[in-house]
Amino acid sequence: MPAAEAPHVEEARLDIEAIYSLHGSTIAGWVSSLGGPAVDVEDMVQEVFVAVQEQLPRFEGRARLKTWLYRITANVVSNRRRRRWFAREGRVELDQLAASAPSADETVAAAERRRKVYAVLDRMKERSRAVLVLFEIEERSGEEVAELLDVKLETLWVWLHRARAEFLQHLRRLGWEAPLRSEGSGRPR
Amino acid sequence: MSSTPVIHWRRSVGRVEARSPEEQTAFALFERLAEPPPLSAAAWARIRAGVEAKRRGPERVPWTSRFVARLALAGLIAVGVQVAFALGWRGIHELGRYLSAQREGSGVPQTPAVLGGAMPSDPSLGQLPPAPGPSRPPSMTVPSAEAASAATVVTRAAYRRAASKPSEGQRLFEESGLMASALRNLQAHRPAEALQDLSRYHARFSHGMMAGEAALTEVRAYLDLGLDTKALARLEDLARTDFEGIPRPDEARLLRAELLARTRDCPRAIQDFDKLLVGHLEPALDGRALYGRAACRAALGDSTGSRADLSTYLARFPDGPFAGAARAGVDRATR
Repeated sequence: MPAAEAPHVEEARLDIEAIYSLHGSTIAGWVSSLGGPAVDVEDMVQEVFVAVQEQLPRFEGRARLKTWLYRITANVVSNRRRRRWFAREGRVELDQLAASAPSADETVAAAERRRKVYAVLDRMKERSRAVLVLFEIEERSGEEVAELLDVKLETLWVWLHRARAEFLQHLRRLGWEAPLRSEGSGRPR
Repeated sequence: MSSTPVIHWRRSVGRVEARSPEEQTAFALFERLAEPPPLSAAAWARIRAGVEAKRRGPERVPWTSRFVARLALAGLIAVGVQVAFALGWRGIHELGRYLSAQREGSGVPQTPAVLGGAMPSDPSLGQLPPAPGPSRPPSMTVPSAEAASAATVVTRAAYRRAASKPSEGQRLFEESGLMASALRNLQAHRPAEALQDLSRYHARFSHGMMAGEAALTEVRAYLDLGLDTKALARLEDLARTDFEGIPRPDEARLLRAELLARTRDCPRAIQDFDKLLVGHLEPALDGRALYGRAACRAALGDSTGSRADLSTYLARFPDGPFAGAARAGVDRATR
């Protein structure tokens, strides 16, 4: 293959062990951010590495290794979320209740905020969700997110603008006005 | 992190003026999100072992293939049922013709030889004059007009009944179509449309074969819309018959318990959690039930019981979805 067609051919020579050590924690972070609080991170990371191991011989270095790994992770998380839809794993979380216990602390409040963010993200389109997770939760730069999603920076800003609008629209629609959700932590301002 | 023209929401509080209350909410939500705990060394060891085992083990059939295979099987069964019923009506039609012809005494349009009997010997036959035209064997007599009419009446009535009442196959086909549409809508995050499908389903099939699945889907649609009170009311309906006829009764009971817990009806929630934890639960439900009971016990002031449940949870699911909160709970209880 000509070098021009495969600019990241050096990365293609990496083996699974190198990916564990160089990108393992990044992949675990993506799984956790993309999946949200209700996912079994360990189980999903294992699924990602199984897919990476299967597909690594076919990685030709046309894209950055990180972009390729992100794509696999996003697919695994997306598939698992679809499957989880049937099982409803952790559908109704009780962190809110725990927060009302006498010994509630800031950790629980942060967990509650996280639950709320993902309650909205779970209602969003896959692409918008990915953009918000990478930009707003992982606090990556626009350039980094554009590279991971394999799009131009200008396109990324458009996607981010739409994703934010979608998030706010869902927030407005939810309003946290449902009787059960308005109790305890109160309506967010 | 390189500079970007757009400021992250989590850094916007006090730096950017929110343009709407929702945006202000978003700033606050993202500002101090809980960071997920990193995977432990033990978890990484288990991951590596699992990946290695899968590399050596037999190839797994993807879930999509299994789903398509199940769908195809369901379709085949539906078509099979329809064909069986269609053949059944044709059989009745033939039987009607045969019986009508017998009543008229004009025989049936089949030779005794065909029926496996011997040709009857009729002595009068020899006395008859020869027929002017081509002779017709005695067994090939044509049914009379009345007999033919009677046969027609039987056939039409049977078909009228068949036409007025859809076959089981048709019902099943229509029922599964409506349910599939509801599930598709729910999966595509269109819970309102899913509820419309379910409303049509209930109007068409008040006691359908998939009524249990429809009820559970309705609960999920309400939950997706954030209508927890309606979801709980529906689950309370189902609980009146102890979730009988519901495809996954444990899951339905767990949902009710969690919703009860969130309405601060912890005594009733604990009753449900107790029932669930006595039986054999699948791990995902087991973890949720344990964590839920722990939260309820803590809310009722039973810190010993709560700590016991959280410890059991951590022993069974050290990296489970509630592990972080469970550890924090145990720490608080022991302080």
